[in-house]
Amino acid sequence: MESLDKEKVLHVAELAKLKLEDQEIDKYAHELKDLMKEIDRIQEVKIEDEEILISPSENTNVYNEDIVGNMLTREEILKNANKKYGSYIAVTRALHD
Amino acid sequence: MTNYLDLELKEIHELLVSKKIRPTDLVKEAFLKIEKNKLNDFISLNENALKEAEALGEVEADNIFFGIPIAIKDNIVTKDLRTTCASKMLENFNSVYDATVIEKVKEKHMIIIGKTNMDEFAMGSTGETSFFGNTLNPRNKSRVPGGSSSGSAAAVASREVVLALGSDTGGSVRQPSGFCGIVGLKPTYGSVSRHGLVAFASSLDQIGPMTKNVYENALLFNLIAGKDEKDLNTVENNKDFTSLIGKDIKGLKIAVPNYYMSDVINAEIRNKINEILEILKNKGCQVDFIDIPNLEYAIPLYQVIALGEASTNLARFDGIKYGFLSDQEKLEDMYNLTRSIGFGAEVKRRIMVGSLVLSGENADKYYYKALKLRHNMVSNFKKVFEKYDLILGPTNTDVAYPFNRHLDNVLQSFYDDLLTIPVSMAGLPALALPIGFNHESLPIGLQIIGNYFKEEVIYELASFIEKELNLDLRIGSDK
Amino acid sequence: MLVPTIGIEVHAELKSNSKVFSRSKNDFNDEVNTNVDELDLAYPGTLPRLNKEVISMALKACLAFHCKINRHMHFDRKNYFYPDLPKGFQITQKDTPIGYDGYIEIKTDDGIKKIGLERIHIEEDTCKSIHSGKQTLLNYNRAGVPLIEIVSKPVISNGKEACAYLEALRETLLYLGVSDVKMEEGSMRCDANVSLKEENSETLGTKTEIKNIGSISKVAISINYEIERQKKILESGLKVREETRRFDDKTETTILMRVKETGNDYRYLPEPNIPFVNIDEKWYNDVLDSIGILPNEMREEYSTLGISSNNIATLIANKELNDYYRSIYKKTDPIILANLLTGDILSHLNKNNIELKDTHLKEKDILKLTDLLSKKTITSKQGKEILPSLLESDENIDEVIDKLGIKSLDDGALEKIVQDVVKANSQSVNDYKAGKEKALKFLVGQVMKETKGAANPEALNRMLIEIINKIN
Repeated sequence: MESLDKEKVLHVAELAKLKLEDQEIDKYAHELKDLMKEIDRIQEVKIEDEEILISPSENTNVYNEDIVGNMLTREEILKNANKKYGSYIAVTRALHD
Repeated sequence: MTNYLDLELKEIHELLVSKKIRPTDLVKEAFLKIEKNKLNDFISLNENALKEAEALGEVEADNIFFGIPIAIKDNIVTKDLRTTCASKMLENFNSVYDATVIEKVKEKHMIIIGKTNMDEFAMGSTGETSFFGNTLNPRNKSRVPGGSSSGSAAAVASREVVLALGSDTGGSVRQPSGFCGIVGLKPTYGSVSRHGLVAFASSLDQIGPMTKNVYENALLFNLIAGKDEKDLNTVENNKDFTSLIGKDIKGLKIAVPNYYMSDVINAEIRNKINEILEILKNKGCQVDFIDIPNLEYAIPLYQVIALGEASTNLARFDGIKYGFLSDQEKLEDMYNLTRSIGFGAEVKRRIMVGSLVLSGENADKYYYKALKLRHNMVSNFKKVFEKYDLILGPTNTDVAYPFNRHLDNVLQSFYDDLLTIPVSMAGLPALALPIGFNHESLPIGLQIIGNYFKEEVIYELASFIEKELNLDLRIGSDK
Repeated sequence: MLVPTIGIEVHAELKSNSKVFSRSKNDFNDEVNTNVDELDLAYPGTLPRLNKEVISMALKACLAFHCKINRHMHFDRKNYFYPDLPKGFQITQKDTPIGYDGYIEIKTDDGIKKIGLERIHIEEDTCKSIHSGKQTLLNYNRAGVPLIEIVSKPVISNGKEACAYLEALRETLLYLGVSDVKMEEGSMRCDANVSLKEENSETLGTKTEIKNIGSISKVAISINYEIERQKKILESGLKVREETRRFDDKTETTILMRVKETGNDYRYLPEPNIPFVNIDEKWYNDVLDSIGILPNEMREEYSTLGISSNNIATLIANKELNDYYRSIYKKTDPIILANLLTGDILSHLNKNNIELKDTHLKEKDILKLTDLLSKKTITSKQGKEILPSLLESDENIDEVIDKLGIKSLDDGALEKIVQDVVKANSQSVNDYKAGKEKALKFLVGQVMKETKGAANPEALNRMLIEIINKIN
């Protein structure tokens, strides 16, 4: 993996919705580089023909019947919301909406 | 101060049944101890505990867990008590539902004493990333208790509670159990429902029992194990996991990976393990040193898979439906500031790594490669279990070390989990068992790894060793 | 020469009882924030469920559209942040869409064209947002509602074909019973991807996406507009920019929403909380068998029965009417029944803004009415008088006929009247015999006067001619 430049760090921060202060960007670039160097080691293992394992669980076809279950009351739904408006949960509007 | 909480579960139960003590006595003792010890092992204390205990006092003790104080790691949601995950993000969060394991705990009339301290969102191995401050190791307050189930381990070790629940993703039940000198199980993946466990890495997380001895651990595991329709990865498990305790261990075939006894492990720990292996050989067990290929890639593998999954699991924290919000004029700022202020440094770092390994072309290069490596690791372990019943090794590479050791080394916290991570990757069950102390009186932990859904065999060996060693694990007993 | 290559993405909501990855009620038209559970709100610690019926419904659609099926499938997470996406990711299918490589047939001026389907996959819907001032208001009823996304290959040539494609797609889903497919309600949503390429080139041009078009006819208008817009740009030597555009109803043009950012990084990964789904032979066959007769087959059948093409179109377009029709058409004259349903009965329903089930119409009565008309025992005029009561009241047809005093003339009574008229109008009879057709009309008119219009004109004509011929 190439060294992590500022652009890359900012791109990842944007993906993760994290705001980095200027001094943090350098710190992260440095730390991520160390971590990625470690991660790169898995390229050493030659196992191209191996299947992928998504989960150690060997379950298949686990589903439920099409019946309505328990739901929350509107009070419960709004209980933890920071911003409410009538029966709605509210949020700052996006620029392009 | 009374010491009922030091007693065996059975003894406490008998005292309750015969009404020699009441549930309120246990609760009062718990709160007194917590206050006296000042371990900062609890984030929230259950203010209703005494009232609940009073109500129980009017009723007959109908099962062995009746009236027993239990501590719950603060990433398992409880309706009546806040759940913070040791994060500013959930500092004042009240869940609208109980985790499945909590329903089981309440059904048996256990008393939840409080929610225990942990590394933020279970990310760490020392308890130092908690928003609510460090938990101290009751064995030695200048040392870390381990993590991420720091508070649960400390609470059981100091006998503030009888039982505790923790969670294990890469070692978070086993490692602190090892550092604090208690028994902790990471169950087979799919044994215990994750419904209500705040997700870190979905394909690795398991809730595990943490107790002072093997038998009580098996009893608690009996209770929490089982299929849950709310967690599609769970499997039916109707066994009694205490069933092999006391059985003759002669003939058990035990494998010890060379990797697990290499130089990277503290010499005193290796010596203690070797002592145990001798005892087992003398008892008629077959003990072989083996090599398991690719174990040394467990850490980068874990970083890719666990952090990849974690980065998406933590995407729900945006301040809109619940949790911390930094309200802003622009939506972009709201997201960025809410998450940057709400999450601590370690969590942010891990989210960044996780997002990076899934981003663009990296997904194929790293994530899918890691999924192949994982398949390979499972195959390798399965081959071992074709010939052996159990795998043994240490829980940790070192004993509990002082605080602030990881300050400038981001990789170090992962290396603490060197021996526990491969097991999590494969989804196998493993138990941490105290087997002695080092020259500083700090606990040394043995890790017993079992085959899929065969925890009863782990308990069989563990209880034999426990009985054989007959250690006094109470705090201060080694002075 | 520039040739349009258009692809269409349709999202159709499946009408299962509960949502796909949670057990909440699947009905986003209910009161705001009432069909929501902790999973829909993405509360910490919640895990997805999986609704088997949703998979069956999606499979049904895939089979009806001739898709190959991914028998061993899983789900994936598509990661992005937006307030209407509670988990910060959407559970969808990227690697293993349930169906792929299917097709939908449409009628074009050049014959039947197969529009290839790239893929069909299952995913969950987002919240409904209302933008108000500086805020967005979120209604979580729709969060987690099951969707199938149907992606066509970019082989549609113009707005007309797009319409035909969407009509065919829509009516099939409607008749399969898997979706209400009402664009005006949002249970069917449609985006078009438009680009132009050089006629014999393999390379597709830069495409623009037209989002959230409100009706099928608007899809055609917006596509045609967009084709022209891009043509003008390319012909003047400039490049088409990759954009997301929306259709403006007032100006009937497409308007820029945003320039497409270079490759959205969705960081897809397999959903670890939902185990693999294997669709075995039995499941596959059960769903295949459950697919009843589809609109095109019905059209052929109706055509064979002699029903007019207008009536066929009306029937197929009105599923409730058609369902009713199909429940009884074999018991009576299908053509006359079709006329009744698509004519006077449909008018009645439309005028009163009701559905067939809201009327008092009973099967016995409509069948008898159709029979009477078929045997010409009553005239169509008389039929029109009877029908309203059958629809609006509980009276049965015999009671209505009685009340209205409609005398259906049997042949015996009619013959007597005809004989009488013939006897009384020998001049006209002779005129007719001499070849004057008008004379017959006069005689018919006389009989009608006597019967007060109750005689069936055709039967009367026949009878008159017969009786006259017997006179020498």
